[in-house]
Amino acid sequence: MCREAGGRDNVSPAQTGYENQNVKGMSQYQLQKLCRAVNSDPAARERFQTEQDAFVGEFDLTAAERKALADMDIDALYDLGVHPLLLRPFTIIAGVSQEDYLAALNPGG
Amino acid sequence: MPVVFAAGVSHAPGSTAWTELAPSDQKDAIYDGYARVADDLAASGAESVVIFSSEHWTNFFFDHMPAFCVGRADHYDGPVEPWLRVERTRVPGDAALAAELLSALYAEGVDPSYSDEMELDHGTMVPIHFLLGGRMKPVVPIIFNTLSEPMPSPDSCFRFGEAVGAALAKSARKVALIATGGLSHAPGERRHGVIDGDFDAEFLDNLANRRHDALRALTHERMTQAGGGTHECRAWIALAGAVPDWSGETVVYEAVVPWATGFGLMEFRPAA
Repeated sequence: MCREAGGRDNVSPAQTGYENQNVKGMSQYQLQKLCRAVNSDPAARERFQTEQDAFVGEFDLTAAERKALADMDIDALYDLGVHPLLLRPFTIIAGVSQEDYLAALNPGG
Repeated sequence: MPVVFAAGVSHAPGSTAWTELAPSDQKDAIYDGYARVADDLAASGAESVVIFSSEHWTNFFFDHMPAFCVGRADHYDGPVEPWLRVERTRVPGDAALAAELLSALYAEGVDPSYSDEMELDHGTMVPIHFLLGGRMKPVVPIIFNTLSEPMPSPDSCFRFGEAVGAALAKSARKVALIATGGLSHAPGERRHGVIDGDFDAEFLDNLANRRHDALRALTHERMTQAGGGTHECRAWIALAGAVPDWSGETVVYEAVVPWATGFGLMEFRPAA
């Protein structure tokens, strides 16, 4: 029996976000380091909210990663390899409900 | 002294942060269960509480990811999450017990990391809130990597738990043991919200019947299939190793869809 709140259960385990860490590049490390700082460090959280460009500029990110952050593009951040247990708290802090989070991750689904 | 109390419990952040979303019958069952288990813990005479829990990127990151880390501080602050609706507080730590435990483990060739400064997140603060709230005891948090591959196998966790149980038995301290995490859930994944009731029922049944071989043989792939958060069940497997002669009794199991978690609460007692 599987119960769900709108999530989809037909995703292969290889796409859960736990595995892609094994092959990450340095910028993926930096992107996750930024998310982790915002999640757990009040000073970093305030800087991300009040001077986002300067704060993000301190991390060695690709243009795609910077754009995904600027747009708060949850689907893109997921595909860029932000671990699900970093991404969900990161979006909770940004005020994203569970419903909106799932909708963002499953466009059209 | 052998462990005097043992329980396993989920630490679903929804149980404090999104209480209003859950059906009232499920909430009543869960909060009543917590109250009964908290009373049992208080009545056990435990002086300190060892908590097996899971890392959530609070103390560790890809710069350093220990398989097991024993907290050796005399206090811990938490929770780190401003949205958890648990008041940030200072939890006393039992640094002496942690040091004693570490010495005993290293003497046996079991070598976890240790830390004199850790913060607590929902993984420890939710069970502390419900099981120790108002009756606080000093804690020793032991944090497992259940986030990032590779992570310790269920068999490795069982053996680690065996070593912790043996080490605690040598201490003069009366210790309560809490394992926390799981059950099936997929937090933050595209599958967020999926609950694998079949996995949860079989897992609890194996704990109830001390089927340790089945617990040790659980595969990483099966846990991943039940949701990435299901890896946290490793803490419960370690608890089974720490009290191998005790059987689990399910106090409550509820698949709480708004909390996106198969919520389990199980108390362990010496097998009759």
